[in-house]
Amino acid sequence: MKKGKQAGLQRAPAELMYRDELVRLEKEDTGPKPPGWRLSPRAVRAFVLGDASREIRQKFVGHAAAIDRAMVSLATSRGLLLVGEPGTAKSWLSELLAAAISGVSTLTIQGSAATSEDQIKYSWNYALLLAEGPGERALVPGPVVTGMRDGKIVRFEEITRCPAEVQDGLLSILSDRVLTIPELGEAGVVFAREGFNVIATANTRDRGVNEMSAALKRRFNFETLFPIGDLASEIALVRRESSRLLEASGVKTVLPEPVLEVLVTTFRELRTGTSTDGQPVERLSTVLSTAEAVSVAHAVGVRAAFLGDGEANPGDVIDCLAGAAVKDNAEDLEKLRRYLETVASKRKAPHWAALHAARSRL
Amino acid sequence: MTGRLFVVGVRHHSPACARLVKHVLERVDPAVVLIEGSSDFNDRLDQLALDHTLPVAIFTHYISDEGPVSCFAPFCSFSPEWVALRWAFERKKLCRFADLPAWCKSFAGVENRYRDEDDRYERAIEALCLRTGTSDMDSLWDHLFEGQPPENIEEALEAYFVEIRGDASGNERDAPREAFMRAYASWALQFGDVVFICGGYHAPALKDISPGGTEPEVPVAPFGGQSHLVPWTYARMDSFAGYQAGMPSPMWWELEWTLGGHVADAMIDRTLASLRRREHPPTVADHIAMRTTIGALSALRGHVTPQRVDVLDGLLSALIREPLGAPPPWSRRGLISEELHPTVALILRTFTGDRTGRLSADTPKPPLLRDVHDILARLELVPKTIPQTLAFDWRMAGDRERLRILHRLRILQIPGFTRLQGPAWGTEEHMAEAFRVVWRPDLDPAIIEASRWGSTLEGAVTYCLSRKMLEAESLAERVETFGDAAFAGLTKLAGDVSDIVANAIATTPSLGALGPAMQKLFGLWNHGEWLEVVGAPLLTPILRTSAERALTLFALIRGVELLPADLQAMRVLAEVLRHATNLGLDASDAQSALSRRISDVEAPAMLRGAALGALWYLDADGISVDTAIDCAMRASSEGRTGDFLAGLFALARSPALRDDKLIGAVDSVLSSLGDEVFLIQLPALRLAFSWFPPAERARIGALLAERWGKRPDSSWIGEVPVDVLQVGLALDERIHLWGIELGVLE
Repeated sequence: MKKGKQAGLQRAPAELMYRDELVRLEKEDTGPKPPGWRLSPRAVRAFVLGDASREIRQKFVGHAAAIDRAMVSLATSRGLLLVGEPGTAKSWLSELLAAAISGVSTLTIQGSAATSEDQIKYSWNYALLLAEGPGERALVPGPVVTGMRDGKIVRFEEITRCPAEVQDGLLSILSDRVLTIPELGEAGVVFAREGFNVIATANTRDRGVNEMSAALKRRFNFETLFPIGDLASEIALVRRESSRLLEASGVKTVLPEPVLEVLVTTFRELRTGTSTDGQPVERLSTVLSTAEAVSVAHAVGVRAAFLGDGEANPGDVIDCLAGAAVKDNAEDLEKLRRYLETVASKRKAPHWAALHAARSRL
Repeated sequence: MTGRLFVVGVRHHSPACARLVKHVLERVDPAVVLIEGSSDFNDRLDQLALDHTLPVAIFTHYISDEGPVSCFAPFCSFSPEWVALRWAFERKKLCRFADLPAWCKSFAGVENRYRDEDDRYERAIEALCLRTGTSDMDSLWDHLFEGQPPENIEEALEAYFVEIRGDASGNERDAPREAFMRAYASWALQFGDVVFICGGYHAPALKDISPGGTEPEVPVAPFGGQSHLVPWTYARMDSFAGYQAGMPSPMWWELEWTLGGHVADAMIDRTLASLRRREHPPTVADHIAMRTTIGALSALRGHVTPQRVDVLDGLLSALIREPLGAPPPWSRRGLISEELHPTVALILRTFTGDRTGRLSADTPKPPLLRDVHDILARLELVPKTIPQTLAFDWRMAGDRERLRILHRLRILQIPGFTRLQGPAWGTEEHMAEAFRVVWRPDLDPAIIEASRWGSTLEGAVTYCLSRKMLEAESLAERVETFGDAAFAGLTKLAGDVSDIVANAIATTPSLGALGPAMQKLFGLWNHGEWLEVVGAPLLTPILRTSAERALTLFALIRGVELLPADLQAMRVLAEVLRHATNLGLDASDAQSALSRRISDVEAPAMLRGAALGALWYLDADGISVDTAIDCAMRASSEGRTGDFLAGLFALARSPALRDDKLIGAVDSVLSSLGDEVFLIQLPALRLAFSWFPPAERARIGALLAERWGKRPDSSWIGEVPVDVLQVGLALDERIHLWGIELGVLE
């Protein structure tokens, strides 16, 4: 599968990575499609959540109802705003939806304090502008103009990190579905084609959506994403993603099951504040997302392969946890110690005993 | 004459199943209708034929090895069981509840006979959800069965129940129940055709039954028990709001039962009506977005008319423009434990509905009514039409029983018993109480309603306060509830509520917050003579957990400053630890936890002092004065002598004054300080020595005088002349005002 355009890329966009599946889904798709969509919502759902009977891989772990709500938002007149803690796969879901609905996920604006309106809408090729004056040739369309003209989904990452006045540039685009480029005169009125919409993402830990104007909020439907609810699905996801990353790093082996279990359980318990048997656990202040778990799993695998004896063991989790998850927070470090002393110590299985025994490495 | 057996497996409270039951009954026209339900109520089935306003419930109250227990079986207009009962009554058919009574072992831990037992077939449900693209059992069920005509679902339902039961032959709880049901069916088949309505899980086990035998005998309750009818509410039927409830959103299902496919419109109207009563009603644009989204979601999911989750999802998408704290409650099963977004909460309340049942006036009165009236008559507390003010005092042994009864009625919110004044806590100085007692027309209805909590006054209050304890949101609220329990003279809480409350205490985030709670509870436990709760087993486990948690929190405190509230909590903790053995705490564990921190460099100096003080308080000879001097020296090297001493003296003073060693050491440390450093330490030093009463200050003075070879002078050992004191107070006041002006003091 990794041929053609994907070869040599560090990370291919979803529409390339899963091109075969998208082609197949489009061919077999019999469901009704909203105007401008390449796939019917049911096919999009199958693409995102997977469908074992059709050999479509699961790409996102979450409730089907949330995906339904998200798609309906995109098919109706409001934009979609995905909100959630860091590491809840907001960007990934937005990429998957854009790839499935429009066939392209690269019309993306990365929001930051430095984002300006011309990066979103359009700018000019100044050499041509000086030589020929304002015209189509001199126009450099931004993601929004391209998305509107072609009827595609535009992704706006971390929208709340942009200044409010830049965010508000989306107001008329979302409500009237029209954008005016005054320099082009009458030809400068861009009407959005069917299929155009915006998926924005916002992080609840950074600057909240409270800083978004009420007017803009009204033009979005909110969909909150959450950490994965059940242990087995989270382990499966971490297994799959870490294996992929390990392969990319040139490591042939996968993490042993007990190591994965210890890693994911530890992350979940420290994230939720309750152990699997209901005992209260001091919650860490650091974000312990599934994405962090994947990166710790990756680190554990790489470490074992290149620095250890090839096989990762639960003790290795400790070293990577301290560095990757706890960072330099002394209090979190102490909480992690207490967790190992009070929760991990009570578990008798050998892999938990190994984790407990390695607590001195902290 | 023998008949055929038709088993209708149902989901309790499902309108689709209710329709199916009616359909099968009409088709078969059986001689006997058997219903899964408590057979001890069979001799009073006629009570169910009376003209009640639904929902009502059969409430069973019995005594188990572990004390009073209750179990209920609710009925509403769309319950399959209710439809079957009414059909049998109207056609005068033989009808029986054909299941074991609640006091049989099979029902241990069961609060609601008609709950969903979804935990038993999680795997099967998960697989089906995955296949249908639904989130949980409720949306799966709605997707597959609700809103469909009975003839379409009859076979599918049977297949569904066979699939979720799998190959399981039932567990040791099911076997006796299913044997009892089979015996009932055998008996009934002798009269002709039988329709048996039971939970779908049991349906596959009721095959191949041959007629014969006598009507099964109802097992008697070993320690006593009985069932009676009580009014019920939709709130207690809703699985979002009630523990072990059935289907969520009863109002939705009532509308579905009466309006069929128009339920969504009716529910949207109701929701809009309640949203419009709020400060920011939905706009026309919201309304349009709402309807479009609901329609689109329902079409996407292949529903002919919008289903419950389509409407809920649509409302969520269109109306809420903020991040949620947790996934919406309808995407998973079970009680809502977190704080909901206010709009989500309002929507769910509308979907629950506020229907409250009422029993027909001809219903025999529940035993609680008799119990309450007997007690009131015996204690001469019967309310009269003219209001009376009754005054009692807890200190009079003869008044206590009456006060407990009045408090129990107050807690159950029985009208006509109002507390005018009385102590807020059971250890107050003034323990006189006054109640205003008057007869009110809603007295008996209120008692009948309260009988949902139990059939005796004590049982009802126990259950009511246990629920309150579970639902409480804060530690303070729980402590208050314990206070109520002490006023009401309760000796225990229902079921495992004590454990749950203890677990909640184990999550208290700060020592300072735990202190006041521990102090209040310990006060009752140690000094609650007037309420007769000294050493009460009701409080012991909670105090034990509090002390354990306090020690853990104490072990985690680091930094340089200790909050005053934390120091206060340490004082309470030390007092509680004195009774470690009676509380079931390991005293040596506690002491080693304390001593670990005495020399912990990461602990605030005041905490180190307090830890040492606590150890001295627990055992005056446990720690030598030399250790204390070492610790004080370390604190002085950090410039924190005052902090250390303030912590130490807050908990223990007398070992420090046994000889002049410690005071001498402190003296030499302080004499070596420069003026500026001394001024910095002064506030903490003042706090440290303020713990000493004048007599002990005199003793310090004497010790110092001896060291300095001087005669003690009354002016520097605490006996300050009045005029000096007044000048000092005036100066304090000026500095205080000055501080406020400068904005550095409050």
